[in-house]
Amino acid sequence: MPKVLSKPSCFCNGVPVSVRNKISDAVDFCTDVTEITDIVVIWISKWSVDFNLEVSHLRHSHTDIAILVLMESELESDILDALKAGVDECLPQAVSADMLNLKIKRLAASLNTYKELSQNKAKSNAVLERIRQEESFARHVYQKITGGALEQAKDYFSVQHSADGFCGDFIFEMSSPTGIRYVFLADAMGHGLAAALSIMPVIHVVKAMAHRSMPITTIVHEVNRRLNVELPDDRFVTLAGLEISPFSQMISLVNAGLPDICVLLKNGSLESCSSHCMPLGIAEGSAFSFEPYTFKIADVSRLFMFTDGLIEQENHTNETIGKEGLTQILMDYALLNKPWDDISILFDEHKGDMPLSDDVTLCAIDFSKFNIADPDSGNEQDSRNGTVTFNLEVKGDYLKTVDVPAFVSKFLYATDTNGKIAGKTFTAIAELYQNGLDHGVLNLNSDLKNDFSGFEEYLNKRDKALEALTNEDSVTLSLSCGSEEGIRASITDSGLGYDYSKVDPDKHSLSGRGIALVRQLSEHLEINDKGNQVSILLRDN
Amino acid sequence: MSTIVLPSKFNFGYHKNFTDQYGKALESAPSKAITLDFSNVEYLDSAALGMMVLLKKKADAQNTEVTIINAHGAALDVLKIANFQNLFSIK
Repeated sequence: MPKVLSKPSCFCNGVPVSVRNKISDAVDFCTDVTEITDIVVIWISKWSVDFNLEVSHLRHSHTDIAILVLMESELESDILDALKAGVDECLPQAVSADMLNLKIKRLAASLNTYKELSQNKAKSNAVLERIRQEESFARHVYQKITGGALEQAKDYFSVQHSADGFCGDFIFEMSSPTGIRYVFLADAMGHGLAAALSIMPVIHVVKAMAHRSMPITTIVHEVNRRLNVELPDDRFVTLAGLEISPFSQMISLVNAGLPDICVLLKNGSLESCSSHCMPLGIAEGSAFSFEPYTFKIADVSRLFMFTDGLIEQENHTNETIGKEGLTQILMDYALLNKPWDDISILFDEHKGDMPLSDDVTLCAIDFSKFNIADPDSGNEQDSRNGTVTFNLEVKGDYLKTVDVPAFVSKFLYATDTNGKIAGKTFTAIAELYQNGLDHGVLNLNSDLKNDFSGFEEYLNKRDKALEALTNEDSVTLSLSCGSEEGIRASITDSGLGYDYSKVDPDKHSLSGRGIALVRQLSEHLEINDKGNQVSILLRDN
Repeated sequence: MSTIVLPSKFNFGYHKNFTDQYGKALESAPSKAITLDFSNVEYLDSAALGMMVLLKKKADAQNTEVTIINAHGAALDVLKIANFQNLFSIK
């Protein structure tokens, strides 16, 4: 036995070393939880095949130890078998003490490095897991926030590939309560979470404005203004927006910085709608102007819009699909009526093993399959149970600024009240509120509005009366809706009351038709004796 | 022909804008027709009806025809309730 190993256990460079004469002893020693060792030196006469299993067992149960075998046999085949069995080092017994000492030091250094790497790996994995969890939560929140806008109809084709966990491309579709459809494709600068966050103001603006049936130009202007204010200077969003109106039977199209939007007409010609204004968020409102492209719905066969990631993605020979190449592919698909899903396969084949260099989105609309509301049709019957009630009292100076009809609009939106009854309700309440404020609280005479100069005088008197409001002046709105109840609304003002029986406008009157209009819109209208409260019932018929 | 594109909320607040636009349209000599485009109008109130009547009176005085196009939904309902089809051509 070499003298250097006369002790059964020792330390080498701070690493505990244990010496055993049998492999089975080494296994027992390592299994004993009271013993701590990092290097096991096993001193045997020659290698036996029986040792293979024991070493394997030791290796599997203790991945963080080093095994050094010292063998009386100097046969190369024995040494080879030992190394094959998984020992880290195998030396003949005749080796010098210095050599053995050096080998143990090397093993100790190697083991320390291995442990350090293992610890760093564990830390890295913990950090990665935390990032993964945070990303998962963030994605959940992001989808929740943007979810309302993402209820995509299935009557057009879209495909999207994300270069990162979060996608900086966003395609979303909305319909106004009256049936105007909007489709937007937005591409925020860059990709990943920062790009996805840049899209959020876009979603909020579009959701709010589309619900009010705003024209696409107004929506895009507002999106630009919001992004200009809210995004850092180095961030912007390119966007394509479509407004498809069943009333005008027109498609209005805006391209703010995206590649050309291709519009295939039924006569076979292809119109390219190139970007005609700056990406959104760069120019201030006053410096941002454009005219939308317009097409008659009846003239359009298909429309394609896509983000630049699609045409700039390289294949393994660094070739891109290119604008012309993609246009040709899309035309082939459209003219030969190929299934759009194959576009994804085609893109995957082009990309091969190359990583995505940017987020990629394609949207294709076939107008023969795109659902456009019939402006003359009614809405589905509301089958919900229960009621929702909303009360609002506006007093004093707040009467100057509070937009009460906007509350009504939000109420209708929140209760998912759409279609004709939503329009009737908004019109009737806005009319009654205006009457309550102007004629009840402000005590203005509508006869003034009977000629052009009277309008001006009416406005001047109104401004003066608004300046003289006190905390006793108020207009109260009570509004409730339920599928069986219909919509009930009551407007009460703090004024002295008005004799509505005096109002009897002819068709040429410039004023006085407000209450007559509300009476026509309502199933039932009731005015209290004092004349300062009007209650109405509206139903969807 | 002059076309006035009206906003989604056509009410008292649009008075100045509206009168400025039809004032210019009536001043332009070749214009013997004014079109009110209701494509975007979701809501109009009685004040808007009054403004339209005023326009009609001024237009009649100059022998200018006023036509309403693309009216829909609640806005069209209001125009019909007010019997404005008797005052204007609604297309």
